Amino acid sequence: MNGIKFANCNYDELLLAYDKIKEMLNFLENEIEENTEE
Amino acid sequence: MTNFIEELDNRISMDKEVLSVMPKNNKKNKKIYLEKINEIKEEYLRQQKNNIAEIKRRIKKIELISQDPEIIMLENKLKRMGDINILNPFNTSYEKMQLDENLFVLRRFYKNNLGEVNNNIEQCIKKFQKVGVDISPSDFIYSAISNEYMVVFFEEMRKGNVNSQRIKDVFEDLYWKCSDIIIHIELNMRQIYFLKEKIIDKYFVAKKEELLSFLKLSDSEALYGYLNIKRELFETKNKDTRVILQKFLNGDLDVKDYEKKQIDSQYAKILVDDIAEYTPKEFEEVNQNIIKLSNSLFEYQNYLSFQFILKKLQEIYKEKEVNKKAYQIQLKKIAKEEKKLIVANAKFKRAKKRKEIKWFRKKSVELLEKINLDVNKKILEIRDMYRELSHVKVSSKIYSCLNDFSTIYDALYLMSSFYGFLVQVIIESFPDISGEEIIEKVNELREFLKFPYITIINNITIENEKDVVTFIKDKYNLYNLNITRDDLEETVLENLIKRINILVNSYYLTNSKLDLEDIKYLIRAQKLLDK
Repeated sequence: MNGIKFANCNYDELLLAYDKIKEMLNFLENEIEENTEE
Repeated sequence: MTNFIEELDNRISMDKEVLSVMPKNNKKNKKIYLEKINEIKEEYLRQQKNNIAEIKRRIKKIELISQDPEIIMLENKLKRMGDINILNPFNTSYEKMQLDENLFVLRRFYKNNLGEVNNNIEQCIKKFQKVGVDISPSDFIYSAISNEYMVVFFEEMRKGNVNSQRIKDVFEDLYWKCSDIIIHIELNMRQIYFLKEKIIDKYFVAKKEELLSFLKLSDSEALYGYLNIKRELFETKNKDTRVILQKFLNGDLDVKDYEKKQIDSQYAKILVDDIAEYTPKEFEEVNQNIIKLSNSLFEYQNYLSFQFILKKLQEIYKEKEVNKKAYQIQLKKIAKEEKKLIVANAKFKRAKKRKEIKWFRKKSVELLEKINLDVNKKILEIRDMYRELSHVKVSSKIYSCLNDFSTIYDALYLMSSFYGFLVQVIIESFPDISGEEIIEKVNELREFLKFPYITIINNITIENEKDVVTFIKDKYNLYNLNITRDDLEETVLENLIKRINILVNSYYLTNSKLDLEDIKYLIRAQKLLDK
């Protein structure tokens, strides 16, 4: 993901990217939760 | 999908792929797996941070668009012009001090609570003070009961609470003795006005001179100037990017209505010719005519909505032969009856004193009851005479100020000047209307009459009402705009207004510093960050 230049994105791309990254972060959070031993 | 989004999708898939093939079968592998997840998470968090910074930067760029300072300047100019009402040639000092609005609340006391009634009594007293008339309990001579109440009222008013427990208790006690107590106070306020009218007139003459010398204008120039500033303010606001943006942000305008497809379809409905056939210059002309149509429709809608007032005026106007001096005659009649009231109240006071003497007690009690009954009867007679006076006052104004060449605008302007009468007409037409709705209607009418683009009702006379529908339809058909009689039917007029206003707003938006994409972005981005 190096080199992503958000400044070059149009409005739609910017907002869509926000949603997609947020979704990925949620996925990662779930994975951490599921695989962390208590 | 754009390259950028594709690239991001690929990256996400790849990272998920990397994670999916990693073993998680023992503690050690799980630890490695979690380390990898955290490493990836860090990267996405970093990217999201950059993304949010860019989203915010663009929000700020749009939000930084400020309102044209000319708007505040024009608004201040209007404020500095003061209360243009005092230049209204139809108004007497009674309307200028807006006593009618407070007295109307007292008149309909049964529709209000005691708190509101007391606030309005206080406002009346303050309005008298403002115009140089200091009133005290001794001015309340209509009945012993109302005088007793006002003695306490003034005491509590000085303490700053006209709704104190003491006032409530006194009212409770007096109300059972005389349930007409508020009517007595209301009529007494009217009497005070007429007794002090000359002083109040002087106050308003001075105020008017002060305003005109400040404006360095004559009466008519001031009114004309006021409307000109109002027009300038309207135009500046319509064109202003910040104002347009705010309408979208407040939800007054919906972005969905302003998509190109929607706008093209609206133009297709209203234009006789195909939109593609217009040169830019012709298209600009079309838009200017659409703006004019929008103003005409607003005017027409208000004309329809206030037609009941006009009908009432026309009824009165037809009875033109009624005595032109009726107002003065009625005033004299009232003054005569009020004098009788003063005499009766003096008698009441004497009888009350005699009641203290044991010898006269029985006779005095009987006498007191009789006087009290007489006074109450007399007050109700005077009340009816005051109600009649309000009607006679407006009728006299109609006969003396209007003629067959007066326009509908003149007529509505005259009617809008007399609050009490106007409200009476509104209630006659809408018997179930609430107090707030009445005030709203009065304000709507007054505001409408200050609308700077009135072109129809100031060109139609009260005696010769034209077919307004044809008037509007023909005018805009000449401009190649497709308006039918059906479009102007009262029941569907709102649809046409909505359609035309969309085109007007779209025109202003096209000429502003923003486009629809900016606005859509701002709304979406703000929602996203609020989540």
